[in-house]
Amino acid sequence: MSQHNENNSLIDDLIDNDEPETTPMYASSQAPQAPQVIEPQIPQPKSHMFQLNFYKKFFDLNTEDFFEKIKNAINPFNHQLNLIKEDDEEITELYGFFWITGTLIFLMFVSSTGSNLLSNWLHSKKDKEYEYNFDLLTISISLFYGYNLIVPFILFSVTTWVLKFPERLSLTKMVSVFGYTNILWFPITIINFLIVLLINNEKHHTLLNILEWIIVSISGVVTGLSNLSKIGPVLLKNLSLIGDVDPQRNYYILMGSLIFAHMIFTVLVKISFFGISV
Amino acid sequence: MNHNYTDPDIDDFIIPDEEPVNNSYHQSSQPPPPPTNTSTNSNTGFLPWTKVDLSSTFTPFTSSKAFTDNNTVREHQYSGGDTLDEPVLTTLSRDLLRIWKRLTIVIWPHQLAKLASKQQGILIDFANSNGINLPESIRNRRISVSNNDEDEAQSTIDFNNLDWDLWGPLIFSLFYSVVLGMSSKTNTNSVFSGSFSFIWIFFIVIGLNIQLLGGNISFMSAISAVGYSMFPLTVGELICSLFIGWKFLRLIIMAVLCIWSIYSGVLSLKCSGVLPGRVLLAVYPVGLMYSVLSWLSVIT
Repeated sequence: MSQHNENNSLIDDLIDNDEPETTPMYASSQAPQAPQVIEPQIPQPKSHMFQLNFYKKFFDLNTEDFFEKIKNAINPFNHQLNLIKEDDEEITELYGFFWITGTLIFLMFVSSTGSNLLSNWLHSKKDKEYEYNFDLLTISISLFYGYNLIVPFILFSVTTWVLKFPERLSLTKMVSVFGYTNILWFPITIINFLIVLLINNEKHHTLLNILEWIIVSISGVVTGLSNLSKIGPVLLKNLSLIGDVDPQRNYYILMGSLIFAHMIFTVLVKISFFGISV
Repeated sequence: MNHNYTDPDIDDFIIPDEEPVNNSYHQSSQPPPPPTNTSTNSNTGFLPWTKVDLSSTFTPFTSSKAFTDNNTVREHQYSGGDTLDEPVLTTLSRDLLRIWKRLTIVIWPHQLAKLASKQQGILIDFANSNGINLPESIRNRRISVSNNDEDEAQSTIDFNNLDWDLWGPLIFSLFYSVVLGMSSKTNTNSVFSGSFSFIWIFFIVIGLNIQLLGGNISFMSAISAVGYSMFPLTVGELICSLFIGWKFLRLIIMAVLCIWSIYSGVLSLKCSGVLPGRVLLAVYPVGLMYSVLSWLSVIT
């Protein structure tokens, strides 16, 4: 019977050995009952942050899960995320952040250069040919990756080390939230083409410019709201947990600075990618 | 620890995978190597333990000398062979032939399709017999073991053609950036250096990405596969910048060639063994990179 029991637990160990920590725990609890068994030396897959294995857990993702996450991210006011770091919860992956942002960079670059070419071809009377700027690619890489990494990092350090939140925010989760929000920028890269197609830059330069400001600011507002609606509740909850004299004031300061950062980011996006230069 | 979930079938799944390896290990190494002493004892004494900790039972094998001697690693760098006493021309021509062979795979990637599907089938079987989500710790070693058991003999010829070397990536990336730099009128230097470094950063990121997603493909062979598959793009770029001025026609040509490149890249990567559920995730960045490169050559 005991053998059977053991078999049961063995099978179970087979099934959910996603967490390698359970194995040594189980072994130590069984050790007194079965002392004749010599434990195999279990080398824990320990790895520190300068090894590749350390980062493997951030890329543990299947294709179906990925599409599920994208579907969730398309709705900007989806509150299913939990930003607080909990040990028993699965680790957030960073694949989405990395490649969605990469795709956005590519789309922005294509949209910017393509719309310029299109405008030049359709409407321009001058013989001057549009020459794309290679630096735009470098600028866009640093702008998008920079914003989506630096803002979560600053928020993380402020909340963890300055305000000392009782429930630490998870840095990877915030980065992931910011990364998936980038999907909401995608539509305007196509709308940009349509605007350039329909409106002559030379005749109606102001109109075109105003329209582009409008679409960029709409996307800016949507993405900003999407981020804030996910981060805001966690901030408010933590601030009231601290027992501050005035939790509302800190909350408004944090949210205000996030909004300010996002506004600057939106303006930079408009200046670098939208608009016809020829 | 009494769980209500009992399924005797799981034992059936696990044992056949493991027992042969276990036996062969014991036969092949009568004097067990020092680092594996403790685990060998426990394996012989108490068999169910071998079924429990797949990770722990496999580490001794993978790290032991017996394992490394018995199991040839399938994916390796192409290293010319003995080149000391032969004329330089022979060496050169052999190496060039080698690169050419690798290129023919890229030019006609469909010859890999059968191999790729077989390889993916092996991986899927493997995933099924281990539960739906593979545990991270076991994944890589298990794949390499099960691959070595099955149809090694049939596929060696094909796999020899997929040995990695960095000639292809180097030549094509250089060629691509030189042409791109030349065809840009104003800032040749920055375009050349920018695109060259961009390509190589992308190679490295793609290699890392595949490594991180898991699978038994090595970093260098991923770079090699991605680099060789760039070939249609470089040809298309040369044609576009020399003969075709019309941007719309360029766009069509580059789109076709880009799909070609992506297709051959996908097949090469599949053969090298990316995990079944993640092929799309591993391949998507490659597609993104090829799209960037084709777009750059369209607009230059």
